[in-house]
Amino acid sequence: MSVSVEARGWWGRWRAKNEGLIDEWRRGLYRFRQSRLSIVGMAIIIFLLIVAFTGRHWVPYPKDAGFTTHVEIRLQGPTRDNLFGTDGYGRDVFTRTIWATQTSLIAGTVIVLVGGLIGIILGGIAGYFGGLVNEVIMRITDIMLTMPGIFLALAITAALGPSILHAMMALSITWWPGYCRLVQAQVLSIREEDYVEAARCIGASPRRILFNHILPNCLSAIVVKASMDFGFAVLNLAALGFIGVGAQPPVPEWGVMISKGREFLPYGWWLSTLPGLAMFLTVFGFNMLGDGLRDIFDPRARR
Amino acid sequence: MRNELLVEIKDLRLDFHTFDGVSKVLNGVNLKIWRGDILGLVGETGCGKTMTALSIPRLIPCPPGQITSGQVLFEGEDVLRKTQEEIRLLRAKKLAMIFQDPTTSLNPVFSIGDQMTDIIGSRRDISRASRLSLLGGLGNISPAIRELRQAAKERAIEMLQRVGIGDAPKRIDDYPHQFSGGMRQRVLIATALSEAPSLLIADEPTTALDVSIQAQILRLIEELVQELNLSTLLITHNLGVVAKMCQRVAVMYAGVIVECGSVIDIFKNPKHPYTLGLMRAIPTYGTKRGEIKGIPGSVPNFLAPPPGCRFHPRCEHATPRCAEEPPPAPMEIAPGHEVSCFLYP
Amino acid sequence: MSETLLEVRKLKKYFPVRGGFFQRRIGHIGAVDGIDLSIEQGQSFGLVGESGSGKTTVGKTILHLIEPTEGEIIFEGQDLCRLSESKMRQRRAEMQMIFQDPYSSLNPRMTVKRIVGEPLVIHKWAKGRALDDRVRELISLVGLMEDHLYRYPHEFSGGQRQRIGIARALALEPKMLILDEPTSALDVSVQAQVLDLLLKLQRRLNLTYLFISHDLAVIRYICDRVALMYMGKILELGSVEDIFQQPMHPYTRALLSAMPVADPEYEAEEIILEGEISTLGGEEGTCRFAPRCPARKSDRCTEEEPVLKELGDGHLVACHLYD
Repeated sequence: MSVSVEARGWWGRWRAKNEGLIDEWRRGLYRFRQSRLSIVGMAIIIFLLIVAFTGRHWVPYPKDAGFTTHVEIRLQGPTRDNLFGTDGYGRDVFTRTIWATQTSLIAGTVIVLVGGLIGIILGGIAGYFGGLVNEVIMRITDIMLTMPGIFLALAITAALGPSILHAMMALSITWWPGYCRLVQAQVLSIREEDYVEAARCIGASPRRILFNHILPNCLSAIVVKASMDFGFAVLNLAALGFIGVGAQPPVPEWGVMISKGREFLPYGWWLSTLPGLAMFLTVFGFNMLGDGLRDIFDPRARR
Repeated sequence: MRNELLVEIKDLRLDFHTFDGVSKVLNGVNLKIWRGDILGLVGETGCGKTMTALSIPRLIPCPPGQITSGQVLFEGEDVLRKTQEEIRLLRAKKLAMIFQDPTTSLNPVFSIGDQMTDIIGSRRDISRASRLSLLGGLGNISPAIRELRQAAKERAIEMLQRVGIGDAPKRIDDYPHQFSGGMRQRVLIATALSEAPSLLIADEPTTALDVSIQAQILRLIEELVQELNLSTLLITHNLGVVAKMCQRVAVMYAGVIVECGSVIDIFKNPKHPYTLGLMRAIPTYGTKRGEIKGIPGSVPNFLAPPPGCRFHPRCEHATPRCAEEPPPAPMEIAPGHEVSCFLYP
Repeated sequence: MSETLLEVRKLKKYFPVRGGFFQRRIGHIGAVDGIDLSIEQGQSFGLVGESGSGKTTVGKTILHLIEPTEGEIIFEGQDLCRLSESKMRQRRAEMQMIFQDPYSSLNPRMTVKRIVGEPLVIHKWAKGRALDDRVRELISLVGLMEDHLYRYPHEFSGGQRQRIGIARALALEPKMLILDEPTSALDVSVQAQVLDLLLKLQRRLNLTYLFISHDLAVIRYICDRVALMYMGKILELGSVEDIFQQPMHPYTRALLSAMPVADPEYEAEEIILEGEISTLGGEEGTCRFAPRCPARKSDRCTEEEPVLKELGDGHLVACHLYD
């Protein structure tokens, strides 16, 4: 080590301070590259993100995302003007599909984030404190896991009134048990590690131990699960839309579009199939990404 | 005392291909084991002792390992050039190995008897080995296999009694978790020595055990080695064990054997700076406070080993020559005592 | 200089054994079964025993990482068992622990700087620039360099990690360190470095050590007084010279003879014990060592439990041979 850390410019200092992290990232990237499927997954996700963020600016018929009707061109197959064809109201399916991307991705994020956060905190508390607290939390989790998520979400949405917001809330509530269980198991094993005992030894409070020592070490498992869950969250949201309790017309949403398109099958194949493909792509992409991330994190070669 | 040479490793070089590059694990290892000898292979963690030992039954995983040069002669024949069939026969009849952790060396879902019968039966008749194992146990229909299993089981019971496990006919059907650490190691020793191999390779056999159990196991190994007239390669980082058990010692550092000789030579008359450093670092009963000295620095990175002699950055007698040229081949400075260092001659 | 820093009286730690349908408590394991010891300021006290002897539990109980079942732990005149949890946390600053496994005693996701600085942050002793300076001081005290501050534990060797652990333990300027087999997982040459460091630090900072180990040679090298434990009880206690030159208890003798000595010409009486603790452990109310004892004299050994008696000069033995 030639030059002392403090003597370098700010870039040099940042690099030195984060050397460990940088090294880890490089390794992770190398392993990631080795799995072709995860690269494909990553590519799909990046593509989807671009579409989600920018799509609403360049779609050919932005008004078709609302209540417009173009009766003259209704139910036409894919043409040059309407890449994905038109629906029962004459609206451009391509526009609506792209428009819905942002909805789905945001919804997916919110569901996984909220559900994940609740689950992580509850799981962390259960695992760390053990005893009665653990029993109570885990039994509630068990009860929730016995009910198929979709029915629970259905019940909640029906009670609150159908809307995409309520669907998101309902799904968040059904999502947390999975994380709770995962984190609780991780915490139970990490709790026995020497460095946790060392933290107690230097006087760390339980809250500090949980948030600074235990949970960061659960991160890899959580990230893997979250990335795969994304796809499923989107799927579930679409399922609720399909049934009719999620997004309400005229808001474009893949599930609703697929559902409405059923009427016109098999003649109007583009109405259900193409949004369905978009959904397939999303779920597939996130699954592959999750796989790839799991390969990076687990087993860690550098542990 | 010196009869014939059982094992001779000549200039063995081994590379390991990893993410970070090529790790030069063995850098020209020279080792001789005579018949009837107990040779101790000493060195610190990561110096390559286990890899050296694994080269004899050719158990080094290749890839990611790759032997780039050298010979491993067993009874005069190069193990590296043998066919798969020949190697299997060698492993069955002539070699036996005990590992460090008795817990992970035994399969927890099969009884001790099943595992021992498998191994002993396979040693006796390697051609039938695959049909002996449990899942291939359909082969039990054949009377030849049944006979083999029966004979193997009897031998297993015999050996268990020999290693001091009382009530062997009952215990043989127990599972590994019903035995304690020391007893599991006895089971492994019993299995290894059941067919009187020519060479026993013991890789840190007592490191995972308590001190008093360690003494028991070492004595057991000593007795059996004498009784069966075995040659032994004992790998350990504990110099006390070496002093007690071995007749000859080879000291290893970073993939090279730096010194070897009789146990008296090495302990009383060490020549290589590393050996000297090791001897000075151990507290024994007479040491006063402040007398032990560590060896400054740390073990080199095998991916980018220092040029020349791998020990020179930590050596107090290093000269510029040590950084440029690789150390010389082992030089005999006294009968049976060889050193690989520019200090000698 | 000869004040008693730590005194332990009748310390017991029982772990419940649960069984049956509702996991009822059907019995207990006496990991620590009535221990008395006292350590003076500046002294190094060794605690020797094999696995299952309870030595690690003693260390953790003194620090209250494990709650003792019974007994008094008197540190600087104050009984720690009577303190509330928050007061205990303050007192923790005065006693710290060094752990055995350098590979699991450091949080793999924290940099060295955060690891060593954490105790100071928790107790609010320093912030910002002052914190940085103090951490740097600690690092150089244990022989590491500034560059190491921003690295993660997995980039260091075992010996270096132990040093980091020592730096962390010293952050709160403790009076006493409990070292649980600090060098058992290290290579010989590294062990010597770390032991050397520990001795230097003891002199410089006037520390008191409770050194737990199974390695008698290391204990002899570092410690002034030593106690031998077996199945939760102390069998013999005395100065290092006394114990090593005139071992009284049969277990002590057997253990000393079983330690392999790095000298091929060393001849010693070989006392090989039979069996193992798990199969031949003594019952409560008798001498725990009796089933394996090569010098067992009479039926008294299996009927009555021997008590620690002083043979003179601070040398205590618990054995019916010396009653």
